[in-house]
Amino acid sequence: MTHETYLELAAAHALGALDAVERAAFEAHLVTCQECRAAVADYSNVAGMLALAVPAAAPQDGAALRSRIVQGARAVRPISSAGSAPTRRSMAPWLAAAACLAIAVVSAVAWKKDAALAGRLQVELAAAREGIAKRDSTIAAFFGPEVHVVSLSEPEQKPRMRVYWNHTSNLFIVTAFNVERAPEGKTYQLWALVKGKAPISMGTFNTDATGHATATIHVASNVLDAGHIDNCALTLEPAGGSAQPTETPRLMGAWRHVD
Amino acid sequence: MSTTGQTGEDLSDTTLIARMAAGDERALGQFYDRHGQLAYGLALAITRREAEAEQVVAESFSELWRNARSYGVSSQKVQGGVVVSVVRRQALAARKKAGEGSAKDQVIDRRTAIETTSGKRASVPKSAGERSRDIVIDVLNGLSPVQRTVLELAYFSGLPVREIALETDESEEQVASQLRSAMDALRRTLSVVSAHPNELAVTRA
Repeated sequence: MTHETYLELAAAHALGALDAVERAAFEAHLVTCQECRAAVADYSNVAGMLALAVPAAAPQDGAALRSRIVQGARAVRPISSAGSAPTRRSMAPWLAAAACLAIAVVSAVAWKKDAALAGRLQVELAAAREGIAKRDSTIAAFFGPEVHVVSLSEPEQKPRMRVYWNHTSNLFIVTAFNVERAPEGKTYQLWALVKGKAPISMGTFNTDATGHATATIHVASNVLDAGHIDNCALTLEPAGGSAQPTETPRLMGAWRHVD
Repeated sequence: MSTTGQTGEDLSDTTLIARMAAGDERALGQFYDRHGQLAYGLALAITRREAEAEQVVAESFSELWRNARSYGVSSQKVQGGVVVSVVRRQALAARKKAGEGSAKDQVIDRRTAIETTSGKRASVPKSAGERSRDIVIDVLNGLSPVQRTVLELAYFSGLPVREIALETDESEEQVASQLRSAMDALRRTLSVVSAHPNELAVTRA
């Protein structure tokens, strides 16, 4: 499609009137076209005004609905401010058993007064605990009061990676399971897409020879300050990343709340 | 209805959203007071059922509460657009789940409600919100019948271009073009209105 054809679709996109294939192609075009991004931003503002065309109305029992909304909020916390500890899940039974076994082994050896072996096992136990704590922290990042997720794929295809965004701990957790390893001198880069704005880099990562990756990326302040982020895109960039995408996205997806 | 803080000044939507993000339930109540009638009216226009519209409003404000931090300082010029965006998406999902009937028939019902209500307000002094509404209705009335139908099917019925083409016996290219020209007409006329934040608020007592 030509740029003019895409521009003709900007209004339809702002209204949500494109089907999945058209939307994916259009949003891939948006990554590299400032004019179309500006058009979508303008049309989105106009679309919001259409709601004024219908009469504002009050439900039959407005007080009850208001109460229901506020009461419901008490059961679901919003994204909390920085400083709140993320919700931690208890260790899986096997992790607890492994820790207990290690402690039991250390105790038995100490009882037998083999100081050198006890010392070595204590070092291994400390390393195991550190690894468990790190995995526990990663697992905890998937959960919590406010987590969004985006499944990235080619149009109409199954996801090949997911990114979780834990707003409490300000972390992206990147999980790739079918993304070809980047060639030497190249890296994968994730982009936050906001209507009307240039793509914002979320960070870079690489997959292994099997196409897998698990990485945590701290959420930068320019991402936090970007406003409502609609979509996420993946491109292949020179090592170290780029200021802006240098190619059409390979994978894309829309952010959604994990309920 | 004004939303007053301790100093007696109206709190902006940005401030209310920030307080909601910090867990302030009172701010959520104030945000609902400001946008609840707009939200319910839109939900009712899309779902056509009062019980479903109430459910949509409840779920929409729950979503706004959960995601308050992600809205932050919105790139949208009108903060109330966040409410409209969430309510519309939730209402269209509910409508699809309920398996609504002919979208085109509902265009006629909805248009009658729009025109009937606008006529009643002619003789009373109008708030900024009411004037904005009149502007939007005037622009819609100035569109060609096809442009207006296509626009309403896209916005209030949530139909994609392909289905609108089937409903209106137009090609998909013509539908996309009609949507663009209709939105351009709105954009030209509303450029002054949308430059002023909070004019999307409902009538305040």
